[in-house]
Amino acid sequence: MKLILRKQISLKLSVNYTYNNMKILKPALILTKASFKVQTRSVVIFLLSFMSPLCYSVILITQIILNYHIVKNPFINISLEMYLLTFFVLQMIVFLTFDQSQRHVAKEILSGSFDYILLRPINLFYYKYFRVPSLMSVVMTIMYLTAIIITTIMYNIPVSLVVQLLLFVVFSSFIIINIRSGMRGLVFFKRDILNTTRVEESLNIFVINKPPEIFPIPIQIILTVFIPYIVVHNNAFEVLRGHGMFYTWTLTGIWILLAVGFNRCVWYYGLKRYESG
Amino acid sequence: MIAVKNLNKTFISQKSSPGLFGFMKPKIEKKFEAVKDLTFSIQPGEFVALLGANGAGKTTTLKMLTGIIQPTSGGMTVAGFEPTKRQNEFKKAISFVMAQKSQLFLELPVKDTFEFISEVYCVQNSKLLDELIERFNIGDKIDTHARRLSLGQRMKCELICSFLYQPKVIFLDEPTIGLDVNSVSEVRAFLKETNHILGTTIILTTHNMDDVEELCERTIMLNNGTKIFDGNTKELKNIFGDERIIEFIIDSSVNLSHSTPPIIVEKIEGQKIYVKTTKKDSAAAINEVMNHYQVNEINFKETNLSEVVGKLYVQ
Repeated sequence: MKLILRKQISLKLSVNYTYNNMKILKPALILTKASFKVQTRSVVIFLLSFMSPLCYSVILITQIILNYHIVKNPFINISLEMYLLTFFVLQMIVFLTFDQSQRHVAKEILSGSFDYILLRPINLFYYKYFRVPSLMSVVMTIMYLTAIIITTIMYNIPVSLVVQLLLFVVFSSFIIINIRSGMRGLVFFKRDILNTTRVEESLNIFVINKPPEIFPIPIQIILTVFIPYIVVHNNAFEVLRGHGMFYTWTLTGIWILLAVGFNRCVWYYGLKRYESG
Repeated sequence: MIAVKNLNKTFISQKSSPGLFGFMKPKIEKKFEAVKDLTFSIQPGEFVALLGANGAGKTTTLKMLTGIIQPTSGGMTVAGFEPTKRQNEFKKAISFVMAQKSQLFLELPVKDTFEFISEVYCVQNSKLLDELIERFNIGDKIDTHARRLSLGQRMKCELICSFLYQPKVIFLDEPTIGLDVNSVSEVRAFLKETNHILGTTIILTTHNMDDVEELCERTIMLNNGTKIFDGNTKELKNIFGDERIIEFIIDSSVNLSHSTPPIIVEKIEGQKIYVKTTKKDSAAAINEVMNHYQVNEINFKETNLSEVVGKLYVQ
């Protein structure tokens, strides 16, 4: 009898417990579901923001595979710390690119306030770069710099190598800034404002059913993500390996000149087009 | 101060053919002549109005004079510089206020824009900013974000930005558009003062003829990109605004149907007759009406500048 009673009480309690919890859970579930419905597009947008690291990882893995199959150099010099350092360094470069500035300039062109910028006695080319430093860039740079320092300490990597890597970051970010800026500028001045925004944002617009009048998305990704990353990625490995330093740095220098030259040409071409109405 | 000779600007726009593969077909090219063979000169210290209907080429002319856009052909000098070269010295000598566009950083307090302008133009006289702020009575607004300012307050800040480095030539594109009566009179008083005291050359485009009548001694009028008038503002009114309407209020009912000078009956409303005549024939018109009717009251209605300009735009 006692057992039955205990079971009944237990059952009752458990039902009550479940019911009470359901009272809280059900609305919560409904809310979550509704919220998820609303947020679906945001989630997609959020996921798309991982576009750059994803593309970078694809490049990195492709390079390792190519290295294995073509150069027949199976991971001789690619250790975990090298992989980590290269990843952190390249991510740091990505976030050093002050993407915001380009978008501000694009907005200014659209709103017409760019006319005032043309009237100012300043160097327009550099103004375009440093119009608005991105807070996100600063935060992410600090984060990746910390990651680099931790990796260096963990794997006892020589300080001279880290210094070289950081120097490489500065130069490479210059290459990436110029290639991306040039590519976006080219597309912007040739076609449409949407193209100046980040690739991810162009995709966002695609996601919310507003097809942008732009180059096909794969081409955009190749232009603004793959090409700049491929250019600097190989050099990061070379710096870590410590082989052919002269060759690596010369190549970096040539790429800087090419990238800056390309970006400047595009910028002044666009400016001329703007001035011609 | 400003010399413009045979200035031309042609805009070429390209349009793709419609349809999915429209981009593959040859583009349709359209040419639009915004400014045609424009020639004029402006002396230092002049206050000139540049008038014209929408699309007449006023803003395009100003943009060419400031070096924002390049002319298709023709020559010009502003403050001794060629605007097309856009030298820094030239940029320091001119200023351009566009009512439709803002030079203020909308996301920042206006004080920051003032500081930015002071830095960029190497403004040495720090008192000038305080004086301008006091002059426009916006001391309590300089810490406010530009986005939160009213239209009148924003325009005052725009003017401060433009006058802060004391340029020799100032181009104003509809500076009083959308402003209330008090703000308009404040802006006008400031412009008049700057022109008289500092001798700044000011070129103003506007659709508000009261601005022109009150501020500008000289008017240049454009129509479809071509200059149709260049002279004294009063002269413009005299040449094109010679007509006047005389209102007669009479005792009896009206039975007057003149349609030849000096009297042309414009309209009749009860005991009111509106007669159209010229300045010269006014006396004869009054005599003619008074010969026929017992006139109680006579009112003159002069053509104002807006009407003159309106007629010119239609022509």
